[in-house]
Amino acid sequence: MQLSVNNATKKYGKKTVLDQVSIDFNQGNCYCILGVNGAGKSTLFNLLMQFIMADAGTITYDGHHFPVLPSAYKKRMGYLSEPLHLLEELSAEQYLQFIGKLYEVVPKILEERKEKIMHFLFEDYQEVLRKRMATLSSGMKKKVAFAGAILHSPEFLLLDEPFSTLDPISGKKLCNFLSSYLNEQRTIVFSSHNLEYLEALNPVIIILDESGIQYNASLADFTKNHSQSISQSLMEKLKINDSSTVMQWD
Amino acid sequence: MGLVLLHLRFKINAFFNWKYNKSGIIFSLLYLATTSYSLFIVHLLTGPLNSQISPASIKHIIFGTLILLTIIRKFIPQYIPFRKRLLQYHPKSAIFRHAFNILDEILCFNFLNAILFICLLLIFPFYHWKDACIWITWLCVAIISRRVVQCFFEQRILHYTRFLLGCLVPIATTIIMLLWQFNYELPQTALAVLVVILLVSFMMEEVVSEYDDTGKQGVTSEHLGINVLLNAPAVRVSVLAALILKSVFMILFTIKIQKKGPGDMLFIIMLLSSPAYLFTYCFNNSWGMLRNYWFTLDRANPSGFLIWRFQLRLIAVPLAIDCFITSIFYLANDKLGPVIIISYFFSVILLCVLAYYWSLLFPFYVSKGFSMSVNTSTVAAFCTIIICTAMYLATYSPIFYLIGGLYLIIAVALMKGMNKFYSDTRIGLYHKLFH
Repeated sequence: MQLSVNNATKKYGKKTVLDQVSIDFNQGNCYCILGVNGAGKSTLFNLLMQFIMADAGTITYDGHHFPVLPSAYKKRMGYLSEPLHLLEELSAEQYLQFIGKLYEVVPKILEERKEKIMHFLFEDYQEVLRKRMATLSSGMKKKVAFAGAILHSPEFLLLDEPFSTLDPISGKKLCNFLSSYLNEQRTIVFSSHNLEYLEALNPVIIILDESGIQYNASLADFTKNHSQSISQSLMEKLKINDSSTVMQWD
Repeated sequence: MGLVLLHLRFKINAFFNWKYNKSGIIFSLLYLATTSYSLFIVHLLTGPLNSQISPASIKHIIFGTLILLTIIRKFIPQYIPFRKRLLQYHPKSAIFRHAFNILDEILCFNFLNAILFICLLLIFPFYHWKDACIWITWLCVAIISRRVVQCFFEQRILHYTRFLLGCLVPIATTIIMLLWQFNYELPQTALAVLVVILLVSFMMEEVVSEYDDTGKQGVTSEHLGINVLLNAPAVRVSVLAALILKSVFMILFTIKIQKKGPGDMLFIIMLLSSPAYLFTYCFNNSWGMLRNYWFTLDRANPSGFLIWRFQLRLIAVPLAIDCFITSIFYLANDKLGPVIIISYFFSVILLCVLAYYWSLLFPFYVSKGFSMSVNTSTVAAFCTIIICTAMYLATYSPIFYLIGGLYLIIAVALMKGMNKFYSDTRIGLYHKLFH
């Protein structure tokens, strides 16, 4: 699925969160949206999912602009939101069943995928499947929510802060999964403050700052052919001095 | 009386100290109005006006004011947090605090308390100020018992105290009943009631734990609706409260009809036997809590029908129980004729469709103060009153069936407009949420 954001502007009251933003998300690529808190990353995701409408500009899906995104397109997209909006009254198994039915996954395939992904993400997956979502830790909830987001094998996967609250091993697993998930038909867009996983995913880096796109290029360009660390490059692009990140305290 | 005046003084104090919250000021004003009203009623009952005003007039005054205050109170949706914030103005002494909490509860003209008022007025029609005093004391007991029951349902009481409450409340109630039956002396009854009130309220205020997460509960059903019903505390309490109230009313009406026949109660029977409670409770108190379902459904399919199907699935089991209760009531009262049951089924069909519209309008609680957008129960109640009034006015005439047919046509037309309505509304909802 080819997604294009064309001169999108979004305001909340008087505050302009996104101003004339244009990005193309091409098939077969992985994109990482970086930016400080409140830069508009989640707003961009909400625009892509058509939860909110741009005040100006358009978003096209495979070249088409839809006033209401049809279900056929929505079902080709997977979304891990932040906050997660989980159905806490259900067990992890029931939640995944519910999501599978919602996305019309064939029951047999649903069962296979559910087992496969849960087995990969959890050591004691059968116990986790039985537990109610309300009883799971925040990291476990994140992993179940992730399983729900990829259960229908979406072509366009949107992940808002997928690595936050995850332990290092789970983060690594998720990172490896995303690397293997990406193929010519699929697109992954994620936001993250954990820069350690970017190297393995080798995404196109998009920096959102001051209501607009400040940077949009490959990871190799971003790190000047790996001569700089990712965090150094980010600080440079955001024009932040090292001294401003240091503070003396009594 | 001294306690009431002291209570009033603290409310005035709260009003003058609450400078920065518009809703708080409105709440305080309403509160002062209800307190003044209560004092006025006490004055009517005990003062010289007692001989000039007939008991029937007083009863009508109470009914009228009660309905008015219940409606006004509905326009302060974030009422409970405000009430909690008002607690800082309450006295520090534990006994006074408990007494104030009881007065707070009695003066809260919420829907449940209004129902209790009406129930008790039906049970104890008073013709003398002594009867009125008994009525007021029983009202106190009823309100406090309601809170205890609510705490049980919400699982806010720790395990070991459940046992104590479970034993003490029936024992105390039995003692009161015995005193009342054998001695029929008001001071003793009042004293016994007061002991129960203090005891129960003390235990509630001191031992009721923080809201206990439902994590300890297991998943008990494969059916999504039943599972949500059993595991989401808000839904469980709402639906149980609705069904209990409905059953209480049906029993009261059955007793009354068996003694005197339906008489001129047909409209009120039609109204209270309708599924209004269920829709009111389910969609006002629980749908807001289930907004994550709305998010999840919308993520996959931006169709209004999907949301509606999910809501119907959620309400299917409670609606079946409600239908069963109504059918039993109808079968037990063959004097009523077919109008009640026909009116019930037409109301169900129309309310099922309307529920989609108002629940979509208010799928989550909006945290801003003094917002009217959570008052879905008011909408549900008004809709039911309109539906039943039209049917009642045409009872025993062919137009009755025509109105039923008209309701079906309206329901179909509304169903056809669902998707468009949903598309027009959802973006506004998200905007409100993310703004």
